[in-house]
Amino acid sequence: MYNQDQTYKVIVMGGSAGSFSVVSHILAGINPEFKIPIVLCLHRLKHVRSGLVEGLSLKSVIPVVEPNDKAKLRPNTVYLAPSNYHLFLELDGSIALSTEESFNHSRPSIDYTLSSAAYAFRDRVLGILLTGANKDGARGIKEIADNKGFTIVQDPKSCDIDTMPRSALQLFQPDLVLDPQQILEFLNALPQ
Amino acid sequence: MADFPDMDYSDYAFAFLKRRLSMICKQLHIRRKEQFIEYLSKSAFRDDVKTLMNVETTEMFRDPAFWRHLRDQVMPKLPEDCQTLWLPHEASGEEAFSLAIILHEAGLSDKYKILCNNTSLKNCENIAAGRINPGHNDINQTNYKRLEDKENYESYFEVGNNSLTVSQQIRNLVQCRHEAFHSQENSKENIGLILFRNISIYYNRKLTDNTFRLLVEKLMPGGFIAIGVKEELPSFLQEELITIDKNEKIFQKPSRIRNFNHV
Repeated sequence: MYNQDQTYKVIVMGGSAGSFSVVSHILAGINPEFKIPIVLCLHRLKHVRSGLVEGLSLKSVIPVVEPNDKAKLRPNTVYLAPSNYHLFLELDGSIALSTEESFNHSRPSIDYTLSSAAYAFRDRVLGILLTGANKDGARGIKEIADNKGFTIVQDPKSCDIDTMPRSALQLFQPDLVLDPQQILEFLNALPQ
Repeated sequence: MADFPDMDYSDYAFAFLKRRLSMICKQLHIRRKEQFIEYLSKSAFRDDVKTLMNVETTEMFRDPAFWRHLRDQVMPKLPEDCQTLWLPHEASGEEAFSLAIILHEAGLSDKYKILCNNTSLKNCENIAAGRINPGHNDINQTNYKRLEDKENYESYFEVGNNSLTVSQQIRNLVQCRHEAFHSQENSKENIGLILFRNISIYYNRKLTDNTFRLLVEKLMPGGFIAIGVKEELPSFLQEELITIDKNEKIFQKPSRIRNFNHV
């Protein structure tokens, strides 16, 4: 359950390529002073290295970067999983990239990013699963819930393709099911 | 594990070790820690573990822009007396064979030797036999086309039922040594190029620093080292090496030692 005094160490957000407009909407409307690092894992073309971070940066009011391996999470920054790498979070709050096998036909895999955040940050992680066309991410966000983190799943009614959120909702009951505007308002109301 | 030769993973990144060992136990049907420890006394089991600890290169010609830069900007500038192009930790042969094809097409296959190392006997045997993951064939071909814009790809492979084998001509250019690169004595090999892409991402900071120090020591003056596009050189080497391409992460060891204390 949501504890309004809880401060989160990281927000991890996953979605497929189609979630670009949702993520863009959130990053355009978020408080420019928003301190909690946001880690984004979006399905993307493996052989196209550039374009996504630039596209998100156009509207985002906080910096969006594609991190190098071993980068430390810093406040007021969005970290986008690079193409053709999995992104894991380590116990010390650093990012570990990997070229291991694709998972759920995906590299980066949302399940991997969310599960590693659940293990590393336990109840100090806020997980958000957005619109998407496969089930990648469903198990990962459930792991966040299992580790007492806070979970939000995008309302399937607000999704272009709802396979991903519906897969999650079949596995567990998240703390909240919200549309993109409500997710944005929720984030802006978080204690920093 | 560290008590056995080439099995000291204590300086690998924690998250990697955790998931990799968990995957290995699942794949080798190990249910208890005690069972794992007991099996470690068998050399075949140890080789299986070493094989599975290796992360395969995801595909041949991964990052075509890197290979294009290597071919066009680096190969023509290799030191005059360079003899060896070295891949210190080659899991699947895909990087080595990519390099071999580049050399072959540039007409340089007689000039340099491609040397790679792996601690797994199984991996070395696969590389010697030119066996490539057939599941990577489509992406290999796409990458090659993006790199070369030629139709030669198929001429380098023999495609079988669920198998993909590099042609004899290309695999003859690659020599795989079954030993850890740390222990290898190759000071007389005149190493002019080291490819170490996406390997240190599985290491912790200490092992990363020590490894890069060792590799740069083994590189001849004027030689080049390439790392993964999302890896970073340790800070102490960022000043020591010349950045050739910051996007493709290619660096050069100066021909003469730079003295940074003397301005």
